[in-house]
Amino acid sequence: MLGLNHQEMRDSSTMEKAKISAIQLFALMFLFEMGTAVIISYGIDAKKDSWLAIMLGMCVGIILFFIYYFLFRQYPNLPLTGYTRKIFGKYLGWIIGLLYIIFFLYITVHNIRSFGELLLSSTMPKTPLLALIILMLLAICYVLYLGIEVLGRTAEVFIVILILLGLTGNLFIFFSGNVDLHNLQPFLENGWKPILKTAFLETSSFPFGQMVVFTMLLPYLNRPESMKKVWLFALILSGLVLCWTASLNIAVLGTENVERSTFPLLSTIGKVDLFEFIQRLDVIVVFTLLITVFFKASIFFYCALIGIVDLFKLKNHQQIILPIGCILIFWSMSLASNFSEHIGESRYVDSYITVYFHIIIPLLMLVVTLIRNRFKKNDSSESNLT
Amino acid sequence: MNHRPITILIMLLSTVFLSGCWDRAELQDLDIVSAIGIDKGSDEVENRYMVTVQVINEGQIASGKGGGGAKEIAPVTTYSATGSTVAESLRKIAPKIPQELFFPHIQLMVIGEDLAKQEGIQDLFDWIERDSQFRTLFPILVVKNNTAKNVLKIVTSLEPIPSAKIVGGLESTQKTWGEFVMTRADKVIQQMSGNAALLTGVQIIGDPDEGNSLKNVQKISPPTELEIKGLGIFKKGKLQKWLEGDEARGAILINNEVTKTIVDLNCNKKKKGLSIDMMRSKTKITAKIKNNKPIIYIAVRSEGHISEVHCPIDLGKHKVIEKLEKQMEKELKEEILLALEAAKKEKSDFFRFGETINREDPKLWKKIKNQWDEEIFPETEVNVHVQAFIRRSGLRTKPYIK
Repeated sequence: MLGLNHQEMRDSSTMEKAKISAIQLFALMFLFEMGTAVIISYGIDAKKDSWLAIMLGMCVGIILFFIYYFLFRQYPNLPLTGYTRKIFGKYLGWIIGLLYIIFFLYITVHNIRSFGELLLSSTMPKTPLLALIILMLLAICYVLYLGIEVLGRTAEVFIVILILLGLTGNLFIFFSGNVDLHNLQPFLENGWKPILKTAFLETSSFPFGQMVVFTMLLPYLNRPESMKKVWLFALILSGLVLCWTASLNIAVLGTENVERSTFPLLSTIGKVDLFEFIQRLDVIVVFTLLITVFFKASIFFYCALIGIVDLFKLKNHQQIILPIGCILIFWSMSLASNFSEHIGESRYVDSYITVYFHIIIPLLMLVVTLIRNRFKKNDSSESNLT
Repeated sequence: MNHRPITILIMLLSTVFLSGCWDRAELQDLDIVSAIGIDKGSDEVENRYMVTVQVINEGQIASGKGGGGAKEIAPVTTYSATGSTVAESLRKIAPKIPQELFFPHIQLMVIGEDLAKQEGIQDLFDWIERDSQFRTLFPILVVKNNTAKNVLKIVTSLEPIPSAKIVGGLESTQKTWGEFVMTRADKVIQQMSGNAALLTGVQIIGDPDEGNSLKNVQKISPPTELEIKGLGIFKKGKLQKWLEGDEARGAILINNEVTKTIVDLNCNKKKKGLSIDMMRSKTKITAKIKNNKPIIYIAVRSEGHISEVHCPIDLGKHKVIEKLEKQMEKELKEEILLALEAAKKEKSDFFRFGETINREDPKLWKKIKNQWDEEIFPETEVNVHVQAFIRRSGLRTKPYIK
């Protein structure tokens, strides 16, 4: 037991010495969940019932949370890559940790690319993609260089801006009189099959399952006992906001138009024309995209970085930010040759690969820990007897 | 602290490099397009469409200049080019114009009748949706008995930019007369994804060539004018028929888009001798399924007051008003039935009854969807129920006529 404690101490000492508060964690989680999901045609495979698919996805997210929560309770001072080694052993755990890091980096790259593509097709068609990606990554690298505390405080500021943007956007959409609730009827038009399919293949993993990345950040909490409340609150609130936005898009545009649009929220807000004066509010959507993608990519990138620091026993994460940032620039440029390929790839990854990282590996860890705990108990009770 | 000068230098440098962007558009390098017209080009594929743009002549529009005296330069200029797609034709205009065309300020789009009748317009609007430059908030109109090119070249009085004149007229028509509506591009595109559509028309009165000159507005009564006229029924993107007058208003009434209008009633023995100013109207469409057959119910509730009387009638009496209300109900119902008949005759469900049925019974709708337009819709029973209220008679009860 003593040896284990000692090792735990050593592991946590390689991490940055920083603390984030409950509010900061909430802001980070909320912004993270909004990332791209609020802009793209999210859950639209379920047609008019996409709100239901999103709700079901959220419920799956809550179930997943309890798996992560259990693991966190077992190893409150360790990030995900730390306890994979504890659970699966030194070598296998190390490899699984590495896989997680590659997965996090991939999602970072994916998000940055999505951001570039959206900005390109919505507002700045002549700008080269590379310029946008470099600027975004530079900003991300800078904030991560300053550390997770700074990111947390930035999130606190930006969540207020995002909420204000969201409220004004919603208000204008309602007052412009384009909302037609008939577009959401009838309920269950195509039965339960498409809803369940979307809920389990798409909406549960993106973005609710992606919260697995926060298991890397939990050791930084200044009050770990508040984590359960914060996580659930952020999850449910963001689920409701996503559900609301998806329904609003359908109510304004109709399902067919949402399916056709690459970024339905942009078209929804484009319909606002109040008194021939309040119009062309695209900038609200572009800002939302900018803020949310910035935080989502930053969080994934940071978790990958501290994972690398943990696995390769480096001194701090600052020294590897720029080299890995450079790799990410080229990776995101070579990710796909066109937008359709990009979307197709993300669909494939979302439906077939993420499930291992979001569900199967954590579940395996849960089972292994439970079995171990039982053996330990038996051991201790036996030793008590003798 | 040694870093400070370098940091400041980098910050100063970045203000130079990071300000502005690749996609900047300088005002002096742009030709602002106020309207686009699309016509049929020729039968060859290379020249399928003829696209006309109306470019604003900024110097002429700017305030202070047009105040007094005769203008010498037209406020707008049109350019045309042909191509196999709209986007191509628009680019082909470039050699004819001084600067780059700038589209975000488009106010109007018109479509020539030939194109609407022969080629169909179902596939015409994809470029508007796809390009982030366009807003889908401008109206799309169909030119009655003429080409879009001719409509765009007519000089109009009072409002120097012709497209602004058309849109202004359209808006006030919708607000006060209710026979035609603003067929906004996003609504048109939504209709085009179905089978049936309803688009407002615009027509030229007089000789288009005579209208293409500033002389047109030097006269008090301009010889050539533009007028909003007719509702075009489209089926699978092709123009079938024009609705006008009562039929048109009935159609707008069913679509719940009438805000204000005038309804004429008989005043004692004088035909159409009394007019009601309809201030509000609300239409609700519901569907019920009986014996696997849909029945549509249209309920209209409208309100108004009396605005003109041509015979001696005592409007202070409640009984008289009630009689008038009955008459008004009958009148509105007739208009709605006329519109329904026209729709059924053309086998074109531009009232979107199909969606109402889908909301009521999605399973049945899936079954009948494919035969709906051709077979089931013309045979479907439609019940119209109108409730009319005349609330007051203005500042007088009895008219001065005896």
